[in-house]
Amino acid sequence: MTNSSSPTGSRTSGAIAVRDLRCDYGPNTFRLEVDGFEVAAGERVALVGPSGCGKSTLVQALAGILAPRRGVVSVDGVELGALDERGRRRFRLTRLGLVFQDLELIDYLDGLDNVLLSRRLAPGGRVSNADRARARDLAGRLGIEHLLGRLPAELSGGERQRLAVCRALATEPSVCLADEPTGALDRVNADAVVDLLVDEVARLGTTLVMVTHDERVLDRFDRVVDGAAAFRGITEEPVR
Amino acid sequence: MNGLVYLTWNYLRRRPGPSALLAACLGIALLLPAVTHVLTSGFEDALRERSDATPLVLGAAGPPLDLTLAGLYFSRDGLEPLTTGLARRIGAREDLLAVPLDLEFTTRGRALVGTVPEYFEERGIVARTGHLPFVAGEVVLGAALARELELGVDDHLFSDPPDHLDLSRPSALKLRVCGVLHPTRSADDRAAFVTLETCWVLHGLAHGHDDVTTGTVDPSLILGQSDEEVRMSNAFIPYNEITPQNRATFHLHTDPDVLPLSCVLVFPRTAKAATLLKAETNIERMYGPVQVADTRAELDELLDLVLGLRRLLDGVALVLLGATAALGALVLGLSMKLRTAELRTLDRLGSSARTVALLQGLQIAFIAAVALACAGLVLGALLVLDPDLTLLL
Repeated sequence: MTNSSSPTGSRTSGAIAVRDLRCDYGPNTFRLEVDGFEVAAGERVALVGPSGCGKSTLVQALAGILAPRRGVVSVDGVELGALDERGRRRFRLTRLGLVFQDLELIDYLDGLDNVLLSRRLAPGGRVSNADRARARDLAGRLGIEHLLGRLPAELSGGERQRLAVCRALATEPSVCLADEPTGALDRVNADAVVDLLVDEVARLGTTLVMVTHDERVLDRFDRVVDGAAAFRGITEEPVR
Repeated sequence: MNGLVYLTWNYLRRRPGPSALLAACLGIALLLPAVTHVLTSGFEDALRERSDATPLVLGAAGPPLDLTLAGLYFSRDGLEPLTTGLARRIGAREDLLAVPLDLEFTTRGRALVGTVPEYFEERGIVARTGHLPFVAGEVVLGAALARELELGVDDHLFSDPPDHLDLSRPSALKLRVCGVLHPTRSADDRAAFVTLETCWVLHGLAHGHDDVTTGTVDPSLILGQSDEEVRMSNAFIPYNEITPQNRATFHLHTDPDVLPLSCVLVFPRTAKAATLLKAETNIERMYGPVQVADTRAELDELLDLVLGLRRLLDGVALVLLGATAALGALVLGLSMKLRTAELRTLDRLGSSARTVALLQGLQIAFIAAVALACAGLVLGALLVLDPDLTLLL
């Protein structure tokens, strides 16, 4: 499996390792406990399971959005627990590709600027011609190059989500995390988006962890992990 | 371009209406006190400069501020006339220079000032084109007035008819433009100047006409004749223009000492001369029911009023600025609420926690910069397009 290069240029593994993780989500209402979870570099893993089992919480922990209360979360060779909030944000911005169901595009930026958003938000905030060319190339492979000049409001739901996928992969990240990216799409569009995402991460050698409820797309992944069996998502009622 | 600057620029660019409205509100709030300050400062400077150049004005008894404004700015409201004889008595003193002014008439609504050549010497005014008025019937125009009326040397203009019901006065006198003055950025730029003799014709106290004794005049116009005088019908019209050909026929019909004047500008050679004249005129009443106004003292009172007005306008502008800032804060607050999804996206992508504050700050900075630039441009344009703006006050 080919490893991708990070935005900083250093070769990274893209592997994920979680051990003895405990994350609290919300004001003591949800707790996730994971004894062990590993994804090899370049592997495509689907996370399935009933709502509330902790799939999305795990993805947020892997993205560094949630700080682990206990345990080890290692992504792309970086131990996230050792980073402070600023470090985790920078890691997320520069090393990860993220696609969320409700991850809105910025409505006042056209398609190309949305794709290049992570580049603009990164330290320095410079976008080179090479970045633009890479973004156009990727958009061409995703079939949305002709939409790059349009605002999100002028796009359909499927086109918007393909644009979000393009944004996630534009930095050629080592790891891509997707949380139900097709949840709001119809079947045809959902299939197209998953196909494009999976094909593109395979081409880039990017590790993919995707939360999904759609059993029809599971055969596109190297491995399927059932969250109900692998983690413990515990919802606690607040004490009055 | 920095990422957040780029985001802010695009945000404002895609929402030009609200951004422009905010910038306009802020710009007006900034412009108002700036314009007030510039105008009142210019006004104050212009007043002080003119009063410093003309320390005393002698005129009929009445409000000294009216007399001061008449002497300095050719205002003729409520001004009782003086006599040329008095001006001659004052002018006979060696410790001062007396410059008589006749402010009774206008041309095209602007002051038509009758004066003597010493006026221009004392003010340091010279003709940019042509020459100063030497003889009756010539007029020299201030620079702004010439530009406004689009007149130059050898053009003509009429005096405004002073009183249609007074048949003893000429309805209007045709004047030849003999010159245009250099701009001085003072009231002189917007006035026209003639000799005192021209004013006497306008008063109806001097006139010129065909010789009624040589038999060249229609006999039906002669109402009566004696050895000393010839009484003519009103249908006999004197000349309404003074030309080289008819100038010699112009003559006075009254005692030269009682010819009217509006006021006399007094340029004392020493402080002692000024004090003496004030004492003799205002205390000892040596020259009758007239007064000498100290222009500096009078304008200081006026400036107190102007400065009070400026403080009031500054206060109003401050309230306006506060209200605009509060409105701007409300609009920005609401816009941030509308941008919650966008800010959440930026947060999840890994943008800095300071992003929200920076976006807000940049948005305010952009709008403030545009407002400031617009206010500066408008103010600059006002001053460049009309450098005499303060004179309009």
